[in-house]
Parts: sequence; C-alpha cells; structure tokens
Amino acid sequence: MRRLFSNKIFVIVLVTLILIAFIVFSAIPGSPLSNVTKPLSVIIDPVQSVFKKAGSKISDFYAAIAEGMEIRKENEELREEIAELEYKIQQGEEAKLRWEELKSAFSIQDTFENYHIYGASVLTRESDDWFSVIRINVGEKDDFDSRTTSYAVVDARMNLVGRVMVTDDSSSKVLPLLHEGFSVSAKVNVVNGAIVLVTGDITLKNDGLCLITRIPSNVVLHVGDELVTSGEGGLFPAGIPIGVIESFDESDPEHPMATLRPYASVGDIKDVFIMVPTNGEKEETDTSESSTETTTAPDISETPANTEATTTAAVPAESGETTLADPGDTEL
Amino acid sequence: MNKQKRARQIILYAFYITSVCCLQVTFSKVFCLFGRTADLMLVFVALAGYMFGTLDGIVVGLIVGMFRDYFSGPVIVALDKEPAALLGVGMLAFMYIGLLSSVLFRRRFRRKLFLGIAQVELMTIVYSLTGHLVSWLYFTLSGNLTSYYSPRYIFVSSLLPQLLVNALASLPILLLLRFVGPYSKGMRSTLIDGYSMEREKWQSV
Repeated sequence: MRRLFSNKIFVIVLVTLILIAFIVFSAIPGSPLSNVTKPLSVIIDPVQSVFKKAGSKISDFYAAIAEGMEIRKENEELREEIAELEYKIQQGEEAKLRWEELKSAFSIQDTFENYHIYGASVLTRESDDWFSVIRINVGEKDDFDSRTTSYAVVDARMNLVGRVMVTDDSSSKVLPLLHEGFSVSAKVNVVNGAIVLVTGDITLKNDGLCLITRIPSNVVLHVGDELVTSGEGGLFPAGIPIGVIESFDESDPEHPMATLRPYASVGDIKDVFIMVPTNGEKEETDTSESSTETTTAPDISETPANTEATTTAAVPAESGETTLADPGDTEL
Repeated sequence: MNKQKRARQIILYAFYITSVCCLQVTFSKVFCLFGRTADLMLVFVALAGYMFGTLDGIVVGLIVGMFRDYFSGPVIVALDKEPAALLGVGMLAFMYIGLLSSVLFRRRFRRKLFLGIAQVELMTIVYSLTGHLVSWLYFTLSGNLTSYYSPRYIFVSSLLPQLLVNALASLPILLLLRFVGPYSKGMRSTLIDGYSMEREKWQSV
C-alpha cells in the first residue's frame, strides 16, 4: 500500500477522482458538502477583511498625500487649513450620500413590510468568467441561512442585485443578476404588464446586459420599458425594480427576445441589502414591537454607514459615519 | 531540509497564497487592464510549479484552488433547476495548472527565470481554452446553450488581454519567489520530480 502511494501518477489520479466526486456531490441539491466551507470561513473571512481594510487605508493615505501636495502648490501658508477643510467637506459629502442611500434603502420596509432587511458589504468579487459569484459579509452567525431557501439581494436603491446562494458562518455567496445561472420572473411595470423571464446570459454579461425570454407572442416590448419582479416563484417579492429594456428582437415571432440593462451595477456595488421574509412567529413578534421597524443589519461595519442602522434613527455623524440613534429594542 | 527552513517555507507560502488570493478578489479593479483582471492565483500556481517542481505545484495549486472555490466558486443549474455552487472545480483546475507548469517544457525552458513568464502565458492559454471548452460542452449537453462567445471574441477580446495582464503580473511574483523565497536563494536544491539541473544553469536569467 505504501508503495502504491509513493507512485506519483497513482496519487494524482486518486486526487483527481476524489475531486471529481466532490464536484458531482456538491452539485446535488441539499448536499451536505455545502457545509464544508463553513470552517474555512472562520479563518479566511477575518484574513480577507484585514486585506480589505489595509487596502482602504493605503489608498486613503496616498489620496491624502496627493491632495496635500496640490494644495501646497497653490498656497503654502494655508495648506494645512485647506486640507483639513477639504477633508471635512469630502467626508460630509460622503456622509450625505450614504445618508441618502440609507434613507432609500429603509423605505423598502414600507413597501415590503413582511421582509426584514439585512445590510451587508461586498467582500470579494468575481475571479474570472467562470468563477463569478460574489461574497458578502453576513452569514449564519447573523441568524439567517440559505440551506432551505434563498433570499433576494437588492442595492441601496432597492434594485435587484441577485440572490443568496450559500451561507457560511460569517459570509455568504451571492449569485449576481448577470450570471448565466440566474433567472427571475419579471413583469413590465405597467398595469397588466406582460410576464417574462429574465436570465443571465454568458455572452451578454460582459456588456452588463441580461436576456429576456418567454415573451408572450402578442406582446411588444419597447426600449426603455421598466421591468420589476413579478412575485411568481415565491423567492423574490413582487415589485423589485430590475432594469430597463435595452433592445427587442421579434425576428422570430414565436420566440421574441429582448435584452435588459439592470439598474444595479454589480461591478461597482459596495453594499447590498438582503430581503429575508418574516415567518409567522417572527412576524407576530415583530408586529407587536413596531410596524415601522426595520431589520437589524447584523454586521454592517463595512456597510454604507459603518453602523447598525434603522429606518427611524439613522443620522450622519460628524465623523462622516452614519450612526443610529438608539432604536430601543427595535430591530433595524 | 531542517525545521527552520521548513517553517520558513510554510510561512512564506501561507503568506503568498493568502496575499494573492485576497488581493485578486478584493482589489480586482486595481489589477485590471483592457477589461481583464490579472489572474494572480493562476500566475502564482504556475510559477510555483515551474520554479519549485511538481510537489510544490500540486500542493500550492490545491490550496489556491480551494481559496478560489471558497471566494467565487462556479455555479451551474443543478438537477432541481436551481443554481448550485460547485466545490472542487478550482482545486482540480489549479492542481493541474501546478502539475503541468512543473512538467511542460522543463527540458527546453531549463527553469530559466524569465522563461517562467512564458510558462505563465502557456498556462493562461491552457486554462482559458479549457475553461471555454468545458463551459461550451456544459451548456451544449445541458441544452441551455442559447449563444456562446465567438472564437474571435475568445482570442481577441478575452485571451490576448488576459495574456498581457498575466505577463505583467507574473514579473513581480517571479522576482519575489526567486529572491525572497519560499526557498533560500530562491531555489530548491533537490527537486522531487527527479529532474535536477546543473547548478549553474538552474534558474539563471
């Protein structure tokens, strides 16, 4: 046996077979192999967060130097004062932007009152054409998991970004809207609008577009028409904006197709919100607390506001970070 | 190899692997040129295999592949028509990248330092074309192929820019592996693949 394992070709073939078995089993619905990455997340996520923070600090440092040099050229005597003021203005503008985003995001709760909204930051982005899901910084430790169901992911302006696929201990994988494995039932956002299917397409995703199929043959879509989720299928609540029609091709009358440009720009997005439906028991508890409450963003240290925010009480702090007034026991 | 050298090797490898993996997925826009992001993971695995032999190539490939699967593993539509995240694809792909880069052209390249860039380019071509082939086969066999990239797009808009950014990314990694480690003096004295070169020709520029 030992001799067998000293044969390199045998070892390589064995490892290959094990990995192929691993791949096949991971593709089986409900496979326990999806739990394999949980221990990894405990180690890798903190390390990855350190890299992210270090990178941000370095870029801030170089930006500060560049700004200081520019100002020194203009007026050496007032350089420090100007730098300080500009820094404050920049921080203020950033805080204002974040504040507007948060205000927008929290208004979701009014529209989708049966959903909790969890804030999260994008940790990692796609690696290449085939390794193309993104990872966000909320997971099972934040009290939700996607083993039994998936969740809709929206941006700060409530536009559809994708869906949660796998949850680990402290992070989750999100399948973006542009991915070829993604599909969602949508409707044209007019009264009695046509129901269509929006899917990712491998050739369109590089242009930032999605494919629209299953268009009823008697329906004509117009460039600029808005599509929202139809609510069919149960995963995505009805009414989440997806994007606008970019083109419509009816050269094949039986199978007309169209392309859609999503509102959410997945490549640029930093913060996302996960819509978790409230179950009966939880809903009852929540209702007893407050009808206007929003869901606590469990760990949004990287979210727009670097905070635990709520609908009612998020205010931009002087430092530029949005902080929350005490919402009492109310969850965000 | 004594314990101190072994510890140095492991620490440096751990540092390199976490660094390249985290950098690529966290700051992908920093390493982006002509719309393509430098594949630091592939570059590192290819160079580790090329410079330090089969065992290092395979082990580094497996670990880097695991990171790749963890961070952004591929997704397919499973039997229940729901998307499923695959595990192990990155490990398999990168294990073979590490293996191939340690054996392909080793006599011709003689592990000369800057020919490592040529090996990276070769592995980029192998990875990219294999990826497109497997992807096309998957879509075709599953009946989900509505359209696929044209050969012109694959070569001109995808492969060529990727070759360029990977070549640029391979230079600093190559120098880092050669002059910092994981092996002292940037070389492994006894290669486990049984093919050792004369010392004076080994990893010369």
